[in-house]
Amino acid sequence: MTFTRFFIFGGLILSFVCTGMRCDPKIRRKDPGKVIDYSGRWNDSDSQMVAAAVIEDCLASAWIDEYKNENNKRPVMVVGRVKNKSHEHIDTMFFTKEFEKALIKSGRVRVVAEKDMREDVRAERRDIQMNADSATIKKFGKEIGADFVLLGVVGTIKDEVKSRYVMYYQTDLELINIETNEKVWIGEKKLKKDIKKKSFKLF
Amino acid sequence: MPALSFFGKRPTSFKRLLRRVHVPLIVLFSCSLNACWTSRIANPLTPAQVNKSDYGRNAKLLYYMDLGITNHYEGRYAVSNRKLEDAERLGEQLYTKSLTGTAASFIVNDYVLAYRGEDFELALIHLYMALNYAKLGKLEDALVEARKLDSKLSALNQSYPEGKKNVYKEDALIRFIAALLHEAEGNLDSANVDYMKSLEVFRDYAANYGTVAPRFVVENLLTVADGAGFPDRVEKLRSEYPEAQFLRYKSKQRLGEVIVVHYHGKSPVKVSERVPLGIMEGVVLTVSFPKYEYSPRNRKGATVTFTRADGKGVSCATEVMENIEAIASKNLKNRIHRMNAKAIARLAAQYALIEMQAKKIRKKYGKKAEQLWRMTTHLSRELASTADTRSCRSLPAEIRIGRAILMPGEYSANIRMPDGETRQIKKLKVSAGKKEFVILRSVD
Repeated sequence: MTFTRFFIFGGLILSFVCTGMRCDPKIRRKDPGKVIDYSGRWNDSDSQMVAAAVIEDCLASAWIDEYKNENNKRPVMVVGRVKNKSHEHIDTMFFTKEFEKALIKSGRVRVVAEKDMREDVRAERRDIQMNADSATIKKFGKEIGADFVLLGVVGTIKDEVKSRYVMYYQTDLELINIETNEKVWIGEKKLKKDIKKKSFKLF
Repeated sequence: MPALSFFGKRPTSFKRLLRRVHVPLIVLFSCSLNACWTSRIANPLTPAQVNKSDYGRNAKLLYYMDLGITNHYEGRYAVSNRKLEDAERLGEQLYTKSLTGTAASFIVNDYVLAYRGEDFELALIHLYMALNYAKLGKLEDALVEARKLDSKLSALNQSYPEGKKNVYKEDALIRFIAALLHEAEGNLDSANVDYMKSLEVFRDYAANYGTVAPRFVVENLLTVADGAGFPDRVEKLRSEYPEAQFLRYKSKQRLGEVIVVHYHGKSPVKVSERVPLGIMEGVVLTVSFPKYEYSPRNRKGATVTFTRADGKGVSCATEVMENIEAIASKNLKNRIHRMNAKAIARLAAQYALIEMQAKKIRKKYGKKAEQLWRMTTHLSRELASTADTRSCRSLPAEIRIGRAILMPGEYSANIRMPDGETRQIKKLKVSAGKKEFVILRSVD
């Protein structure tokens, strides 16, 4: 009797332990557009919100048509540096890439590769000179110079008291005529988060 | 037929008594096992010596800190940042206190709680991270750490009620490093604010820790105030500090600045001190408090001589800017009354629980059983009663800073460490308007 009870009890504990100690990770696919916040820090949702707001504004702005009317061609744009002056390590590449994609898709603007990528492309071109079939060699000095550069800054203001803080993010993007320094478009997106840290938990 | 226990026959009175005795014993002993924290270490920690298993579940913060800081000393700045980022995240999570853990700490000891870090330990995480980013050439990220520090120090200031403020509520060294980074970025307004704050905090440092502001803090402030267009401030500072040399901002922009960050000595370690309170019904009652133990070190700094290819050289000596030993000691003194009160409350709770049960045992099983119960439980209580001696073991006793303003060019550096040992840096590139950081670590 005792042995049977012990056996059942032990078996139950073992099964609980085994199911609780599964070593395979639990994975659930999520809609990338869904807003999920854990820490309160800048995340993919914030990048998407900034991108959505500035893209719409930039494409609706008059600068593209004005340039076309004056020069009879589409403007050429390059993405420059977006400075991070915030309290968090923010990779601005996520929303500048969205921005580039939307501009190319619209067909109203031509976009050239940014500084880092240009270096890689030039290295590839140099390699081609040495190794590719002469009929397929690409020439130097044929790059398209950009008419406009996109520059920007992400800044934050943090107001904290004990377990609560407000984080205000402001992203400013500016499109500047490379020849004349004229600012043809300024876009901004403001985000505000009220974050309350839990003071107590049960365990 | 007698009622059956789960495992079979109804246990005898003696077995039931043993079970009653064993449960609290097991609880107390298992909790006291948690207290196997080794404060004293013979040699300075290296990343290879930092083993997760040595830290346990409740000292993960220290594990990440030790790993991050030791990697910083070894020049592995990217690895160091990854670990310190883990420490920072964990530090934020630990803001939320566990109710059951807190309750248990009033019965057992503080080792049942996760270590949340001292204020200065949490602030220093950002200093190390900022220097890591600066060494990796990521000035923008280093400045993010400087801003985080600013908000952390502000939050720290607000976390204590008025009149109960901690002595450590601002950090002069961290402000100085933040100012340097802002100056390197060309943000003179922020640099000006941080140099001013650093100088202001040094007044507290002098009173509380005996650390005075090195002359170069004033000199850098003078330059930045000149660049930011505050001639009145320049005049005022020059009259207050006549010994400080004034270098115009425009002139300094044509020169480079080398900052020598010298981590010297071993941080003090906490040890548990047992204090007898008295004897009550034949039981000796003691409480344990933490106290710091200090490692001896040479009080001299390092001297660095930078020599250019043409033989021209400039020397600078490192000066104490952050006396971690004094900060830690003062910090503990600040909190010792709260810790004492908790230790006494814990003792009272443990005593009451044991004695309450003892009465029941005497009533049911007699005097001998009661004596056995009291002897074993009070012994286990004494064993479990130990002060929380956890602290970051990879921190130095002090952080010393040296500064040299040099003409742009390539230099070699000859370093004389406090113990007389000489080290060399073969190539150091100094560029106009840029800051270069040299990291040194010494123990003796």
